[in-house]
Amino acid sequence: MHSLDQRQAMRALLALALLSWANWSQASNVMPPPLPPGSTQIRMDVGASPEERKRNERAHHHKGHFKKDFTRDDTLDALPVKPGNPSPGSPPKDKPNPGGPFRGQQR
Amino acid sequence: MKTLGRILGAWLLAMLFASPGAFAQTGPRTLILYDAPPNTAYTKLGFGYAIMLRNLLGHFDSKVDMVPVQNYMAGQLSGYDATFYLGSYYDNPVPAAFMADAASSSKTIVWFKYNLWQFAWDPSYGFQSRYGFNLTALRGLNAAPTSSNTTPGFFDTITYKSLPFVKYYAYDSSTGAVNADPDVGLTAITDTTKAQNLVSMSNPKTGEQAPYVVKSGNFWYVADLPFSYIGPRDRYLVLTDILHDMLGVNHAESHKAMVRLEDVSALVSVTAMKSLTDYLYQLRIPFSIATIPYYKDPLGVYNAGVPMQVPLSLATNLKTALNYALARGGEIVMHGYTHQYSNVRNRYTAVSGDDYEFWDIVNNKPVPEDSTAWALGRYRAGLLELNLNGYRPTAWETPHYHGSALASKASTQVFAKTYQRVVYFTADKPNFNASVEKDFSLGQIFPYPIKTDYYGQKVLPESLGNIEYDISQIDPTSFYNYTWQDILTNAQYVKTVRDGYASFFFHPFWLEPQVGTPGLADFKSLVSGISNLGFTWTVPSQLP
Repeated sequence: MHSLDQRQAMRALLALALLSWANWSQASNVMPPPLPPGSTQIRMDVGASPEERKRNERAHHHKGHFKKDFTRDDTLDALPVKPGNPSPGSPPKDKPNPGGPFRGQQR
Repeated sequence: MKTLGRILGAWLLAMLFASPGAFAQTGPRTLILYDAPPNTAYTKLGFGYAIMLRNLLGHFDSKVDMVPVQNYMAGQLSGYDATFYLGSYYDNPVPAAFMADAASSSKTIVWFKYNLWQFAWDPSYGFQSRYGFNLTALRGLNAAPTSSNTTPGFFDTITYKSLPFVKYYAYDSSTGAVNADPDVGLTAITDTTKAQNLVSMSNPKTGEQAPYVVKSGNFWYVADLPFSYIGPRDRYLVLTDILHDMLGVNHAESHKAMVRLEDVSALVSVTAMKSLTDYLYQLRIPFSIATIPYYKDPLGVYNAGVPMQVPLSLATNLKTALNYALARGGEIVMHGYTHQYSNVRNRYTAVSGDDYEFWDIVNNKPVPEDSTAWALGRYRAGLLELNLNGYRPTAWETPHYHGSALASKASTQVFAKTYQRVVYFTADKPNFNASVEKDFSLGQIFPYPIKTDYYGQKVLPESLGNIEYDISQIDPTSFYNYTWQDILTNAQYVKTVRDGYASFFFHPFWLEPQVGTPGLADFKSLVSGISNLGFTWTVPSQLP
């Protein structure tokens, strides 16, 4: 029991010695340059600026959404397209196609 | 010959059944050493910077280890292709073992900002004779700001590829506090055969110029730590490009663009969606639609106090708009399950599209239910909603780009790609108010895809932002202008990154007549402007 205590004490001493050496080995041998003026006023942070953080959370609703009928297609309110004058995005025959129907064909 | 055949067969089998992870991260091995002085308020700040650099290294498929600098072990850097030391804490002790290894190593060493004096001014390392430059001073604000001199100036402009990149500065006259990171290490090149100034910084108030990025053989010094107060024209972009050179991974010059129609839910205007779709389809530009599968207004804020919910099966306008777009180059990105949380205002109305879903923004902490299982439940519910109606999303986008750490990690189990900016945390359950060793959250913008980020996500970039109009008279949350010209300028900046993406989003809402804004005209101007800059349009499904 006694020898166990001794071993533990030796280990503790060794650890202390290693720690002291580690601290010594990390100690700088040079004086740092002085901090610039106003340093105590600086608030350090990481990542996006406050403005960019705010940009991420725009919410977009307005009074026009009040009791909006989400089944009434508002294109029906628009003037009908004249015959012979197709809309610029004339519908293709394709069915919905995730990924796009014209890969590699953009202008 | 038989033996060779067996070996080849075994190898082929091993390749067939190997986990995907076995193929991951074939890029350079990198070590990030960061300051973590114990028992201070800023102990974890350095870790936050390390996370940001780690994410950027994900663009290069790098296998990254992040280690507090005090835990560096002699010889450790020899196991890496490149070692980055992030000097974020003034005069934090740098282990002699690291400096001795750095002084004798031929591996790439990149040193940021503070504490170079411990290496450069200690004669035992022979810094100046070896590298041909020296540290001359630490500089920051030219003077302490006061109410009569709120902007004393500092080295706030970094010129790169002929563009002036900025460093953020904001002075709070009521408290005297400065939100900025003005400190830089000033260096002087003493031997031009050894050291080159690759990027310069300037101090407009004093007229001074000094090196911002210096390279001497395998050793790089960056005068600043460009991960604070970042934005789309920030000096952070300079680093995102120069990392290619630091790592010796020179991706080819390539410029892609992406456009995403945002917050598209049951209340969407079919007219607005068709107008935008027609325009993009005419130009054969593929696009994404950030779709909210399930609309909820649990407090009836937009329904005369009567709670309202619209599953996708009943959202006929939304389906009409989606079907029209999908047949014309559109694809769906799942943008939350409901894009709101529970039946409480989280921050605005509890209505889909307004509120946060995966973060308690009111109390700035994870929601009480936050867990991997809870997040997965919502992801799967949203996917089911889409799938039952015949839709397959090609990527995930977190509402307001702000989800908990667990939610972000969980997304990788369901979605192969995310398409967003991302908020990261220095702990999964962060404590931002601790007096010592408090946590930090950090929002990061990416100029290019990240193959694997800190949370394991593949991130496709949104780098430019979105058009905004000040319509606070009818929508108090829309209170500033961010014009198409602003976004286009951002695109010019991101083009300095050799493989930078011009990626922005746009709310179809801006075409609704009640809003009274020139949404469609501005959208067209922006798309046209980005095309004219030489970007080529793509969508998540077309990216690896």
